[in-house]
Amino acid sequence: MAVLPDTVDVPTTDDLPVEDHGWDVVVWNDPVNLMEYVVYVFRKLFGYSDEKATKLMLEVHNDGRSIVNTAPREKAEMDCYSLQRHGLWATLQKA
Amino acid sequence: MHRFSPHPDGVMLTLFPEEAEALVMLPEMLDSVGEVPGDPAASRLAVSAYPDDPDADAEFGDWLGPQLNIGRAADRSAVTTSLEVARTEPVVLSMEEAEAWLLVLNEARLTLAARLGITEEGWSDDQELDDTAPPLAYLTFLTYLHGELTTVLLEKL
Repeated sequence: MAVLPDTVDVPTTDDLPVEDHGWDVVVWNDPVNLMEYVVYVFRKLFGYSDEKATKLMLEVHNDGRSIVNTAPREKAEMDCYSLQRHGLWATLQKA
Repeated sequence: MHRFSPHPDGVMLTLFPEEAEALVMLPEMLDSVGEVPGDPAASRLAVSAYPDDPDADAEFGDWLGPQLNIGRAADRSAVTTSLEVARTEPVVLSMEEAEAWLLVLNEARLTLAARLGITEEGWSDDQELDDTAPPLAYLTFLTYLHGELTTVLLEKL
């Protein structure tokens, strides 16, 4: 049988972890990477469907940049690294 | 003739001897990036992950920079090894080797384009550029190879 404590610590908002909105992985347009190649990279690295990868590639091409993923910092940095390893112009920004 | 074609074990690479000869210089060309001060290819291949935060960018570089260099060196080595065979006969690349070719070809394209000062879309149709000039002709050749390999690898996803 459980025994009730004399006092109860009620959590306050100060006890809550700072909300982590994550980091955006941004890919920028460049004149050299081929459109089909960019689709390939998005599909391979993120497992996106052809439709989603093509949509993101067209955002990069038409708008100059696209947020291709949002993740906790360490994961976002690994994504950014993988994109750069494939020659894409990738940077990070707070979400 | 397709230089890259699907194969049950990976990707078949078939080159004319003179094409293989032209590709032998690729790893060496990539190794030379940054040797000359102000080489525009160096900054293109080392993009800042945090362009507005030098400290975070330095930390990112310390963490992942060595890994990037090791990976690129391994890719170049894989290309060199398979090229030795491809100079005389078709060679079947494993998927890992095909991926190494993809990255090396693209790295070389980015390097040449940076050194040629290509900053705008549509460069391949630019009549002002002399496509018989060696660097641009080479870039066009690499672009053809890269596009063909990308198509093959997309089919295998």
